[in-house]
Amino acid sequence: MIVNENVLEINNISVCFDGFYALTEVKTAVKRNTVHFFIGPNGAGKTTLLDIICAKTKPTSGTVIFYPKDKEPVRLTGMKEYKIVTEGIGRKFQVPSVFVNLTVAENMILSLKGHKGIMDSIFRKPSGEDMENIYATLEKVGLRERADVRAGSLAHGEKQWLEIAMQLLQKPEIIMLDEPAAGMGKPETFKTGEILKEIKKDCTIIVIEHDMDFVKQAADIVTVLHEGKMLMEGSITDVLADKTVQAVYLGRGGE
Amino acid sequence: MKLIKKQGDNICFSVIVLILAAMPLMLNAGMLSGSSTVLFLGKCIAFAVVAIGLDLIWGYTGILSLGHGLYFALGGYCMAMYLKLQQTNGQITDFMHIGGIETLPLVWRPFKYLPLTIILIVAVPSLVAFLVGYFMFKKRVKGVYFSIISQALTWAAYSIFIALSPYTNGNVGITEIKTVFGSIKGDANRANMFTLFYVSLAILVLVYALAKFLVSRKFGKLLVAIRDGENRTYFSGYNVSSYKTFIYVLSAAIAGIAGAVFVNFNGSITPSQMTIAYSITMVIWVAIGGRGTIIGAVIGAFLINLCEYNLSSGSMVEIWQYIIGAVFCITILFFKGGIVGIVRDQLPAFIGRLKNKKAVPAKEAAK
Repeated sequence: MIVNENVLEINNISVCFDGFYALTEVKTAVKRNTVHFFIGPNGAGKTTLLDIICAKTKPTSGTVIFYPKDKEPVRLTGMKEYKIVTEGIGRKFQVPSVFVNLTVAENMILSLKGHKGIMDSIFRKPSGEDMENIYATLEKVGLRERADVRAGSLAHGEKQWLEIAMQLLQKPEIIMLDEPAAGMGKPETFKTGEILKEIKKDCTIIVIEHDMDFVKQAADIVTVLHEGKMLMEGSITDVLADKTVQAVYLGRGGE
Repeated sequence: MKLIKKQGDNICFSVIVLILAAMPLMLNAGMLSGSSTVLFLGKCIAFAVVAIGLDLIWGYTGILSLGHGLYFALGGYCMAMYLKLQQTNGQITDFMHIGGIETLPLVWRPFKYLPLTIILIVAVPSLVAFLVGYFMFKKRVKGVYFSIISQALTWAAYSIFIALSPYTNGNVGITEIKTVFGSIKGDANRANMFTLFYVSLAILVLVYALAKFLVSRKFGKLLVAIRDGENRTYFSGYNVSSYKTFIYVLSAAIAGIAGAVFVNFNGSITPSQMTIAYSITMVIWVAIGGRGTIIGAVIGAFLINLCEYNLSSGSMVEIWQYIIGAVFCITILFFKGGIVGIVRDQLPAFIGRLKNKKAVPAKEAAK
């Protein structure tokens, strides 16, 4: 079987909320092992698009097709939310939600794949392989030394990285991040970008973001949305050079 | 120092157990004035057991049950029914006579046999808790709504037990019973009392060990995860409602065992052990001892009851309820971790601040 270059195809998605079109005929494809950014002003429909991919919102028309690595393609539109998670698409929401009273390592243990039953959690200890996997993943996000710290005492940025690490443990093919750098300082944002570049070796990353420096640093492909329509798509240099993009988005707020 | 930090709770528990174990010996040596102290401590053991169960669901899982008196009393009634039938040799009791019942009612029959009774002490509270928990947690009833419903159920059960007086002797409850090991009244039966006391102590140790084992495993971490972020736990792929039902049933079973122990020492059981006030008292033990630490529940149960025992006789009897209420409020407002929290977090932080008096005051490490 030929491995498809695209991991996700979004075909002519339109969403209509009571006559208001949040998205109109959006068509794009996400390439495997890339960091794909969706940018655009508020109300451009970025979050709606993520909601559609993970089936939180139903589209009015159009389809989303997911091409897993060694399996048959799957149509995501019309599937149940929790099933999409098991297909290998993880999503991290804007607000960090780690378990504050558990340590970093314990947070990771709870995110391990499989063995979610009561008896398993009482009698089964995570195997050595599992623990190695956990520490290797923590290494990737730079939290290896913090493994025994209470998650509640982590800095905001570290909590975000921990959550990304928890997503990675599920071995997803696609991770969707909703403004991962929101509320972070410059150094933390930079480190987040480096983390994304590191983890794209194992999976595909879809990001919504406002911070243009962050986009410049980490993006392979950028899709610009404006009022529910696709404005343009290309590398970050193309996007920054584009006159329309400058007019509707970049010109504002001195970014 | 490190050992104390890591094993502090187990060391503390061992000390409590050793002191308790020494009590009967002290009585024999004439160091205690009478056997009433031992009987009272026996009841405290029962309270500590139910407090451990309550801590598992409230302290760890964040489900505040204001109706654990129900499970405590169900276990207690099971035990009392067996003990009563021992007195009447399996014949119907005097209150049944008065109620117009001719033969032993069906619900009383299993309690002729000790093994069956022991099974039912665990099974009856478990079954009730399963039915309550299964539907409530499946419907995702939580927080204060759960607390209110648990309270209402306890009230309903209380009313039923009073209404069915031919079967339960209503308000009076089941009285004039001996213990599983025979009479414990008088010096001649001291051996019986000691057997009962040590068996109860062993039950406390077993329940403590079970609770400690559970919370040390991934299971315990999950309980905390459910408390701190229920939805997140669902997203991580865990069936939260079955976990909640499991721990609720377990803590009800523990409460049932505690009730059975209590009846032996108390010599009677009445519906007042089923009231809401009684259930809330249990919550207060756990809160003052320290939520989310098994040892805290044990300390709280012993300490509050010892205070009550010593203070509420005499002039303090009228204001005791106010004192306990005030202590509870202060604990909730200022010392969320209870006594254990003070010793473990706030005291070290305070000492640390004293040491760094000249330096910039360290931020509260406890938080």
